[in-house]
Amino acid sequence: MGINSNNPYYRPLLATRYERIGAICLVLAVAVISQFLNDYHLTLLTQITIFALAGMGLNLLVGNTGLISIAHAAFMGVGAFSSAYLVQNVGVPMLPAILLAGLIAAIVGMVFGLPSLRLKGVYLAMASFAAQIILYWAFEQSRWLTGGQDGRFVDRPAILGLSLLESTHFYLFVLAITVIGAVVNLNVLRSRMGRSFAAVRDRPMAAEIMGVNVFRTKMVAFGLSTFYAGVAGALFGFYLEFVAIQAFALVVSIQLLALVIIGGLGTLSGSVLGAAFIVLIPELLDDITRMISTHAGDVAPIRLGVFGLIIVVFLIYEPNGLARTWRRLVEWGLGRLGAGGK
Amino acid sequence: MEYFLGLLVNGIIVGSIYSMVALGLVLIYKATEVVNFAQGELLMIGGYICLETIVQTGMSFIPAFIVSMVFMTVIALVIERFVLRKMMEAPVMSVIMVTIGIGVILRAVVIGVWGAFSIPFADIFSRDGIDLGFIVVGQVYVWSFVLTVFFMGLFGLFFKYTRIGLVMRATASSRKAAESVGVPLTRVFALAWVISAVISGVGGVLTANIAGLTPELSFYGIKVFPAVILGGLDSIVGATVSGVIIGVLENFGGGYLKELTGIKGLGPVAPFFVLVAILWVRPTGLFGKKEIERV
Repeated sequence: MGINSNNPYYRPLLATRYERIGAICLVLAVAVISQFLNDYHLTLLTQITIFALAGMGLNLLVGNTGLISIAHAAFMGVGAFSSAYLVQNVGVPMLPAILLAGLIAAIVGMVFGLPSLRLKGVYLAMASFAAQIILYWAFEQSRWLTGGQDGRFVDRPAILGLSLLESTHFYLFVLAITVIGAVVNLNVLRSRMGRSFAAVRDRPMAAEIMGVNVFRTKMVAFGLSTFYAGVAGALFGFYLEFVAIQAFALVVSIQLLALVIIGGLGTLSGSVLGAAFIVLIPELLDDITRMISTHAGDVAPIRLGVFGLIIVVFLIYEPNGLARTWRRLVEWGLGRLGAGGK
Repeated sequence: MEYFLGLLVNGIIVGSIYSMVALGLVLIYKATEVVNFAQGELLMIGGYICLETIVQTGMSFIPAFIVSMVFMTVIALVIERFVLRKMMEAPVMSVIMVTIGIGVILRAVVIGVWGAFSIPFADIFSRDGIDLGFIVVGQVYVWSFVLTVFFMGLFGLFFKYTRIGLVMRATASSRKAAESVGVPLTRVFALAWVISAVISGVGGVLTANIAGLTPELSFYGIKVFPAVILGGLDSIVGATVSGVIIGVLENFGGGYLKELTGIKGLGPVAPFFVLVAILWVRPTGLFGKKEIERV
């Protein structure tokens, strides 16, 4: 990747006026549209937005730093349960509770990930896998925190005196946090640290020789990534007003991985597209399955199988994900437009 | 005392199955540098195919066992040929993710075809126990142990005395060197996958005999991760020894730790605590080589 104006590691955030206006319009459009959606569509949109946030975190790790975590659902769980506990049992206001939840998730992630970050990436894969299993088991055991198999209810407190009980209002809050997450994500990538991420991903040995502290870089990536997961988990809990431990099972961790792979490794648009994909595809699949089969038991395995298949097919045939497909489509479209104009 | 011996013997026997499956994992890692996250699902599907063969054809256990091993070979060849070979140039992380995807597909197939609930395995071994003098052990366990040791011995001999075994060891020790003297890498990789899948299949049939068939059987296969980390990801001896250690530990975890701490379900999770602890204390495992990389 050479140094040019299109290189995301060097170019300023939203460099042109066109981009600035475009980004602001996009966010405003989503915000306005969300206020007029029916309940079902708003539910989907909220889920997509929350998963986009979690996906950004995982993408920083997988796409930008070349590491892998098979426990991001569990870290989301840590965020969801700790923020619920902080709000309800300690009386912390919502905003600090969400930030603390992110920190707690990052600390828990560190405990599991820290030693393996000294080693090759496969070790982090294993350690995070262990983290997923241990944390899920801990969720099951800690009834005081999680309600065990029954789950726990979560209050959605007001923020700065504004009630967020209306789901349209809550969505704006989720959108705001996700946009902040996106801006931070892009800015981190443009920093020295972000370039270290790429160096560690592409040539760890060379990076180390050139003075990049590989261990510290991996640690920051992992910490940041789990922080995003914790915040997303907290939002998820406040959004549902009920958290069940099943929402943070291994399957969900795999879905999050699928999100970044399908969306596109290492790109912000990838995290967003991937989130839309993994929220909408199961809905679509369920509809299709219901049409062709009356057997209710078919839904779960078909959903699962299609996910597995999509992961494999994307990794083989479109390893850069939907973000790449999208860019190709746009370029093709612009090319046609340009040709038409002449 | 009897309780202690019971836990110990049980642990060693279940552990020997872990050892065998861990061998499969180390084999693929050494040959291709890929950690196969679908190992647990391969184990699971091995058990299901064996039972299905018995139920559908009415064969007795041994031929059904052989048929299911043939199936495992086919599955491994399909996976290697149509997925892994296309990813030979891809980064290691992508390959790991692909194996996760394969695992998800296998699991979906099993749930789709056989359902998510437990099916008892056909009674193959007599229910009478065998008296070892100091303790009575179920026949399933004894036979599992015998078969495991037999298969591990077989593979040991294969690697030591056959030409193909030598080629595989050469590839494991240096892929580049092996390739430069004309070792057909794709075929070695394919063979590594086949052996690993067959080993997992054997493990699956044995664990299914012990625990019954459920999709959760894949969890047994996953417990080889702590075993290989404990032994060292690249050490065959390590995998063998630590498989047994993990098995024993798990049984003691379920038995004594439960009485000690009052926490339920510590047994199956205990190995994963060991995994994390080992990474803290001695990340190369008991027998692993310290890696020295050159640019």
